[in-house]
Amino acid sequence: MEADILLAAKALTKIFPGVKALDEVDFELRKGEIHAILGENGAGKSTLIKIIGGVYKPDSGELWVEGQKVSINTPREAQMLGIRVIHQELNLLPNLSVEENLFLGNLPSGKLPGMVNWTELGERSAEILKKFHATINPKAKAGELTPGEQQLVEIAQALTSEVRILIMDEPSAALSESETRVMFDLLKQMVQDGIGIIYITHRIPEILEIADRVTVLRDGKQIGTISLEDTTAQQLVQMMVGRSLKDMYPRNRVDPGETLLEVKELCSAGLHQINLKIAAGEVLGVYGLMGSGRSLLANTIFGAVQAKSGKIIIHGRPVDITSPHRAKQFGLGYVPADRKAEALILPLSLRKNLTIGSIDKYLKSLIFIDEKTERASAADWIRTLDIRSTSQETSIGSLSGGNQQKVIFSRWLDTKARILILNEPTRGVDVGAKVEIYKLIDNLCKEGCAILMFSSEMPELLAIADRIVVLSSGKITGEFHWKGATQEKLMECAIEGLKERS
Amino acid sequence: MGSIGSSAETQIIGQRKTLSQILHKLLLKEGFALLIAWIIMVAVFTITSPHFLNTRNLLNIGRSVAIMGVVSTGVTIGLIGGVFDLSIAAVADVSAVVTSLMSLEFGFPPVLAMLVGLCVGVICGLINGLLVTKLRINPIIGTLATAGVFRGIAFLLTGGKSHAIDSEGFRWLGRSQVIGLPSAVIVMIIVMIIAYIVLRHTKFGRYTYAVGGNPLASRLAGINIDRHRLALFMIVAVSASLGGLVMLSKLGTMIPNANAGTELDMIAASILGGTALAGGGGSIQGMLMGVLILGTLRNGLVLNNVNAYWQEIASGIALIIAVGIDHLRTGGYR
Repeated sequence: MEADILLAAKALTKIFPGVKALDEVDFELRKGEIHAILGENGAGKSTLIKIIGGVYKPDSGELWVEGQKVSINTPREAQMLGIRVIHQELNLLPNLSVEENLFLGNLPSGKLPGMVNWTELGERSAEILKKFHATINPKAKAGELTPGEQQLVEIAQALTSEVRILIMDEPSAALSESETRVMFDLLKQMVQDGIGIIYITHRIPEILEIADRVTVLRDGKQIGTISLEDTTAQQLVQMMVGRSLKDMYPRNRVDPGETLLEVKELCSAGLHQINLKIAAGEVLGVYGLMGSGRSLLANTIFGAVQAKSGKIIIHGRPVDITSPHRAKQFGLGYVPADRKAEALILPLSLRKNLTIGSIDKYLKSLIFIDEKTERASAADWIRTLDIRSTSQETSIGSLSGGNQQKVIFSRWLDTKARILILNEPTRGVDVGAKVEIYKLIDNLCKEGCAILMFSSEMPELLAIADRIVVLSSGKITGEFHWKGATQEKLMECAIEGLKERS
Repeated sequence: MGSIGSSAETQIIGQRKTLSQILHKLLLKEGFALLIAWIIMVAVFTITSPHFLNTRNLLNIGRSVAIMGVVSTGVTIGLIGGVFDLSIAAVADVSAVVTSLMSLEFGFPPVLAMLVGLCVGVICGLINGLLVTKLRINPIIGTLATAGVFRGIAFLLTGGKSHAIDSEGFRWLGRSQVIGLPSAVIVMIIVMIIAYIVLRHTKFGRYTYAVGGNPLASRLAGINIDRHRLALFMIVAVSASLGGLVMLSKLGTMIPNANAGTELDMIAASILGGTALAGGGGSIQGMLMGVLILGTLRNGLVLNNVNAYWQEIASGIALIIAVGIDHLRTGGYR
């Protein structure tokens, strides 16, 4: 048995300021197995693979590769040990061709020093791409491929060098169903050659399909490692979430009231004829894969991106939203997807981040800020939303993701926004905070807000939204009432637009 | 017994810890580390030169840094808000030139002529701001270009010649005494106090830190960032033009390139004072220390008969040291 173990991690612990990302986690990968790591966002999956991949150093614990104790200090050292990581974000160089990307770092040399043997490069690339049954042109620029194709090229890239341990971080996030199928076949083929694969995901159906064993992480702790033969989907969910589905998604649906927001025939570069309608007390979910135009639609409705044509009607009145500044005046609020880049103002404190959208409320003699009432109001929100922080003067960057997100919610609640656009509201947030955010959404509905929720996580959309529309290639390809929606139906619509394009 | 001893011990350790914590906190406070550096510098020069520590010389230092203080205040507000302006010296000169012409050619009373000069500053700032917010030109390139334009206009208007402009009505701004202090220093103090209040206590100040700290997030929080940046460009330019007027008054002569080359000093003083070049951080008290350190350094070196060329080198090194120390704390350039 011992000889079969490719990689072993023993009692790995990693602490980041304010959070124990990994807490004494044991992990073991055997030859020829696909070992899935399952966990919610923030469970510690990425931290674990970053330690194995040499990006982070563990605070304590050991790593063993093929029976030898190792310390992996850089991604380069990981590569020397035969470890390859395929990250969630696409890492191809968009201006280079597919074949150049494939062999970047070890391009075949030509006759003269420093020259590239293009013939050999072409042949070897074609050979590798053939394995994928994919019709990818090796001469095409990587940036011109679909996200799914790019992902396949990244996997192919890993195969151009000696690999014994392949780590894949949510590889199917950008893939269509047929592409996922191709990838699965390929992975099964690879393990037969004795490679070990670590497959990170939060999608249970995928695990049931390809994994041999699964390790479940939750809040940095290892909940268990089990063989797939001994488990069911329900048991995995229970392990991952740590609570029943009803506790996870507290949702008390209310009858929708008057229509608050209506989007009619909205078009822009990348969006075609979008029609939406949301009533008070309603959550309208928008599902779409990466590159479907989700963020573009959110940004366009909020006025951050200019629409080419179309109408936006608020409270039955057509309005002209030319900027986020105007959107705010019409009672819109926006929680963006990329918190750090689009929402947080890092040099400022929690309080100043919270009140930046509603500072007009706290003015005295027209221009001066009345910090006393501002502080009192910030304290109110901190209490109401249970934002955990040592004080309201703490810098926003030192808060956990969930608490940061609650500050951004408070920012808009303090403007008395009635229409909230939420883009991936639970991204990078731990399970506990997720539940709190769902509860908050539920409460806002009760109070008569209209919520437009963009998400790439189907389970949360299915549980929270009253209706779900599916966006694909900038078009709406389906609309479902929550009772009639399933993961399969959503996925089918999500890839519909992709088919049309190709 | 044992328990009493140990509790007394922990108390002492506790006290020591809080003392070092207090010190640490103070050092993190804007401008405090610089204040200590300045005090050390004053002590050193007091020992090395008998002419350093007396009222006359200290007033000299004040006089010599006043213009830098006025302009750096505007520069600091701009930098905090993420607005960078390389045309300040040219704006100062073109404002002074227009003011002089209004008085010499058109017979405007001095105060009115000066107001026209400040309006020139407003217009220059408006042009800079529109280039950046409407045409989306990079601020460094845009203001480098307008610096050339403004400077050219200053030369064209004067034909490159200098004129004496030394009436009583011009002298008060930069060359008189008020309650024992040089008037230029008074101007600087007033400008700084206003800037301090604006940055600390007004909506405009709050927005300035936000827009400089993360423009995209500020925009998505519903701040009209283009309008704010336009206002910042105008503030920077007006402060430059006020500096130009003080200079005009101090020299008693209109010289079309009186301020040429000073823009980097103004920016350096601000950065030395802890203003974040990337925006979102900085303070008026920190900038004041930056200005004082540069002014005192130059004055002290002169009194110690150090070659003028060495003074330039010393200013440069002071900037590197100050920014270097700051970056040990914040992580620096990536």
